[in-house]
Amino acid sequence: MSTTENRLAGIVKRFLDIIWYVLIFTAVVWPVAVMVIGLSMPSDPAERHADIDTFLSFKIYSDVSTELATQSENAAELLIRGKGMVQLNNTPSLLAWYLSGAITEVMGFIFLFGLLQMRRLFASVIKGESFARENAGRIKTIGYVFIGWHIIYPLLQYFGGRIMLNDIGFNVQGIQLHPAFELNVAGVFAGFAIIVLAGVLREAASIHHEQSLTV
Amino acid sequence: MSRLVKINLDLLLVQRKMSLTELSNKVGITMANLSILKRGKARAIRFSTLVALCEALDCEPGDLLQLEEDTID
Repeated sequence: MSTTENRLAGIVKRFLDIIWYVLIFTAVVWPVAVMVIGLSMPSDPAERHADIDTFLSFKIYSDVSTELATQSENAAELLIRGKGMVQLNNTPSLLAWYLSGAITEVMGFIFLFGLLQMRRLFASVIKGESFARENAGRIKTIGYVFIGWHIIYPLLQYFGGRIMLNDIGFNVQGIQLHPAFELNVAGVFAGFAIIVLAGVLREAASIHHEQSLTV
Repeated sequence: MSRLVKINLDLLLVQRKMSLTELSNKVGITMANLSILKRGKARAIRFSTLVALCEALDCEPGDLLQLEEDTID
């Protein structure tokens, strides 16, 4: 590798290290914070104010409020629809609060596992051991993490969102919320591509090893 | 039973009264690589290396390379 590429690898490794330590700290502190806040919430649901982030699809109709109501006397029209991360504020649901926190923690662990492989990979590259046999395994693991992330996260969001909405009992005129499932097919295929590239690197490592024993 | 190529480097060095260091300096191959050859760990040898070794040891390739039975299972 050239000096510039080596320097760049060093910068990326340091950046990954910072992200790693921040996320390790968050992974430890986050469940504690979720538990502490959850336990400190009033036992009466009417007095709870839990803010939940979850992936939902939403529809807003014309009868949602007098400001948005159309002049038409017909049935309410669909004005806005969408899908994405939605924040529901001041909900009474403790279950939704814990579930939202648990989903974040699970996905955090999956991300940390992939990040660990990346750190080890870059550490190996900086040492001049790009073609170490272990690197092929690390890249393959990163591929599996990619695939897992893009399948597990949508599933958790869908089923988690369903449970949360049932428990919250959202009932506002003119607004419909539904659990949403969005599979990132491109992400899954990218994971498969990474696994194939890991196989290529394994072959390269084998050739490199053979070359190193050629006098 | 499979066979492998043995490098008779030790024998030739003794016969030529030459040390491994002297051979390394003469042929321009590192001590590490000569050690790989000597220990039988080499997977392949380049013709250029073979020619350099034969010239330094004043021998034929057949003196340096020997086919023998692989005793390791």
